[in-house]
Amino acid sequence: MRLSELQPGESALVVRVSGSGPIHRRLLSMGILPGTVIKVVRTSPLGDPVVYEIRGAFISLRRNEAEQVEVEKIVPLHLIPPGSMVKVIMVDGGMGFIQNLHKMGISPGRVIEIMKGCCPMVVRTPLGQFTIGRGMAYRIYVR
Amino acid sequence: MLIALAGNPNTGKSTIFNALTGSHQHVGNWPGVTVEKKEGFTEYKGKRIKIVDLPGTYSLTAYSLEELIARNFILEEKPDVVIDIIDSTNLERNLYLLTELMELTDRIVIALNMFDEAKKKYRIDVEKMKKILGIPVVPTVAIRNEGIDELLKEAVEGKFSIKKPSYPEDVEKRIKTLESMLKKYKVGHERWYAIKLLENDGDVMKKFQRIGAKDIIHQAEHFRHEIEDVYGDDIETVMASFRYSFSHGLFHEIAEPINVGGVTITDMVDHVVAHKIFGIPIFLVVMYLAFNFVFEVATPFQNAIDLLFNGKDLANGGEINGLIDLSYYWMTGFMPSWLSSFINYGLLRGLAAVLSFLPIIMLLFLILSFLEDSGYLARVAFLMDRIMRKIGLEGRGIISLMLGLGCNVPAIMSTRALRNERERKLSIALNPLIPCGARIQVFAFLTSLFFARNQATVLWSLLLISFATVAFLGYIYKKTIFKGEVEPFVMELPPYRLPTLKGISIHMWEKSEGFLKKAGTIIIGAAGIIWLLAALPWGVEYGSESSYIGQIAQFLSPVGHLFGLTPQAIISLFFGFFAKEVVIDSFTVLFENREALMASMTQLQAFSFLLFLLFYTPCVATLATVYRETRSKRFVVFVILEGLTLALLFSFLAYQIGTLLGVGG
Amino acid sequence: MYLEFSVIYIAFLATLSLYYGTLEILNFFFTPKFIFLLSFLTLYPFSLLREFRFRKWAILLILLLTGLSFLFALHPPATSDIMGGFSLILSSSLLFYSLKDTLRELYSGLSFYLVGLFLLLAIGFLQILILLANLLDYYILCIGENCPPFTFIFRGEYLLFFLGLFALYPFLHRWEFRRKNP
Repeated sequence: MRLSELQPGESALVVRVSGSGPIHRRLLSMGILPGTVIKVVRTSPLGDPVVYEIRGAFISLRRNEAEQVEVEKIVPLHLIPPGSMVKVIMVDGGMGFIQNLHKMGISPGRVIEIMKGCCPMVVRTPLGQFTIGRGMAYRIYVR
Repeated sequence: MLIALAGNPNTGKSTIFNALTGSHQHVGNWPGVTVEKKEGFTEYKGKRIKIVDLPGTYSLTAYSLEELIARNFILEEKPDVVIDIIDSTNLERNLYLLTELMELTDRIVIALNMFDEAKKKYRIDVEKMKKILGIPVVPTVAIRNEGIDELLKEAVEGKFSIKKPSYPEDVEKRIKTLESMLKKYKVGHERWYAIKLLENDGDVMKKFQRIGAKDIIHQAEHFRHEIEDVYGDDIETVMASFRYSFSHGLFHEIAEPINVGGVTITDMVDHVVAHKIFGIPIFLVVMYLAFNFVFEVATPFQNAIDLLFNGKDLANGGEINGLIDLSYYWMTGFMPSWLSSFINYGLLRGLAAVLSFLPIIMLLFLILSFLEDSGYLARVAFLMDRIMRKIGLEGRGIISLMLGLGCNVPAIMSTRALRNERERKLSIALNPLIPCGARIQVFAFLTSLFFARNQATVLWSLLLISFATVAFLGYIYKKTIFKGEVEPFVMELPPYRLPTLKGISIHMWEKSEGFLKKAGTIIIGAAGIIWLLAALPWGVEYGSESSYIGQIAQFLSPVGHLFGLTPQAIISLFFGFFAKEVVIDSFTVLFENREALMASMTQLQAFSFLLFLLFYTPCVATLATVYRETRSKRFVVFVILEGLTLALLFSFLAYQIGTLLGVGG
Repeated sequence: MYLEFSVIYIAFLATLSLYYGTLEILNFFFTPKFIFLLSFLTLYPFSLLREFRFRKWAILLILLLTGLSFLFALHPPATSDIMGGFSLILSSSLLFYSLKDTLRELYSGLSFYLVGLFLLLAIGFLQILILLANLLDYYILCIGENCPPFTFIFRGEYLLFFLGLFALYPFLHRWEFRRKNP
């Protein structure tokens, strides 16, 4: 789906940035690249432009610019209610963080079950049951 | 020694520039373009250092003027050191530019600016950063002048053993091949050119086509297609991804987030200020507060300056002599009275007029700087973008249009904030049609005389007519004369910051100074010319119907008749060319009292006169500013013709239709 | 306790702003007669009183403030200023909106409160500056003349500025909210 189709509050993973020319290049320079997490913050009174949160900064894009970004909808872990089973799509952090989660069985592609809601959360993975702090839950994205 | 300052926009680059150069700076333009260039000097242990502030950019592509200027400066002027100023609260994205800079030069010093705010968000390991990159890294808090000395010290004495980012092996192999092919062309910076050729960089391609390096161009193209096939995306996305993964990795190595998922004050305020319902009303109120502040607080200062220069006639019949009067008496002591009159009542009056504009201009710039530095203007641009696009401008354009209600001079100067050159010109073309405070004062005066009971209605209708015309013309211009490529809007919303008094004062001074020097001289000159036209031929009463101005007016009066303009009205329009407030003054010269003025025109004539006044050429100060901002005499002529045409059109229609309908007789 | 009393005080402040705001707009067209009845809006927190802990003190405070706003309302100032009135009405609506969310302990309540109060203080501060500028202007224009003494016209904004300064207090104490909407 396109970035322009998302509603405020939703997060997504960038799949492709289409188009060419200055707009395309500017999107790339701002960090909108395949593999980036984008969150929709709010829309302006007339629906266009829209403010997004990208790599920790707030950027506003016009609708025709957002249309060039293909995304896949994802949700940060801390919003998932207990009892759900979700697939991990992406982990946002440095090598240390990724490895720690990997040791718990939380890595892209794995399915985990939420035992207790935020926060702190308790999840069950193929490797066992683990407690996840709020800071970590914010940076794990699932579907 | 030459140091260049680079970095993203909104990183406090200009604050650091000011801190380093103090008053030893010069603001001009990069050659041939309207992008501002700031150069300055500083000293370190007796060594004189030249500092150049490069335009703020997010990257170094060939897609925008600012980026080309920045990278060409580094390529051609070869600064000894480039200081990359990074907004530490926004590390990851700021590091992207760093990766591009590292491909261009080895000697980089990093300034981690806004370090105090960043410490609340992350724990940053500065030593680790130095080790990974191999270049000096200095935390700074520019607005508090912290770290600046150390920054300069590292720039001059620091040790550079840069560890450049590297791409995946297959890409590196191809880069190295191109590098060796490039050696025979002796252009230097082989690695950078190799990478840019691979990326199909427009400017670099042009350069190599010019020197006929067909072999390299073909090879680069070949490699490019190979890489695109392997990675499955276009080359720009692929290369940008590599750079970002370097900066992403670097970011996570040196910074550990402390407070994740908290709500910042910026977000809280934005929730209200950029709100679907409340956003625009809040903007209107802020504008109202700003204008009210400027006009009401400027008034006593304007009156003081007026009193000082022009003196006053007292109610009890006496009078106070102003500086101009005193100077006149003094000068007639040693020169013919006509010369003294010319110098004092002509030129010096002009100077007094310039100085009386000054409080309004300074306060307007003060408020504008405050709104800009706090970050609020970005939200305004966000709110108004959709509407503004209909008339061919981006969201920010509303600011300069609204400033026009205060005074067109700072309004036109503020168009520099518009990134797109085409939009800038469109905004400058539309701005003079917005009635400035002076014009509105004249309207208030005339409507109170001729439309006593309906004063408010007539005033509002004039304003609405001008807004509607601006919108309509903007729409037309967008489709015709000012058609062109749309610039990416992609705009960052910086976190709210409380501007420092020092900061906004500096900005205010910079802009006001420009007005004084350029517009000031032209206004004084125009005042002189008008004085000559009004005082000659020798012996006539100043500004009366027998003076040159009066004669011109009489000459034009049959034409003026079609538009409902009496000869006195035409005379006052001439004076209005100099400054709109003078229209009121000229009426007081031409008529003994209000009743005589009211008797000279019918209501219909008054209305069409008002319409003419609404649109016709802006005052000299505005024209001077237009010239200064566009450097094009053609543009100034365009603005004059635009105003005159609209003025003639509207007053003609109003007068003729009114006469036909038999109203306002 | 701070929460409840702050809410009551904000309702009072918002009501007064609304009152002066509508007055400034209506004065432009005619002199409205029964608008002082608006002061009963101070009773708004009453409608949510079940959530209050210090009932007796809260009720007392509300009645006191309603009485005060009634008093202010009986001597209406005569300024007519459409944009000024509009800006006061906007602040008051922001403050009322913040009450709605604050009582549900959402962070957005604090946001609206911040902006609404800041706007109110800015409006009041501006009017005070204008008053000073007019005073300065009066002295400059009257140099060498016998002017009648300076006429001081009371504007609602002056009062609201000082009342608003009191409303800063809870902000300094940093309300603690349960995060429902992070």
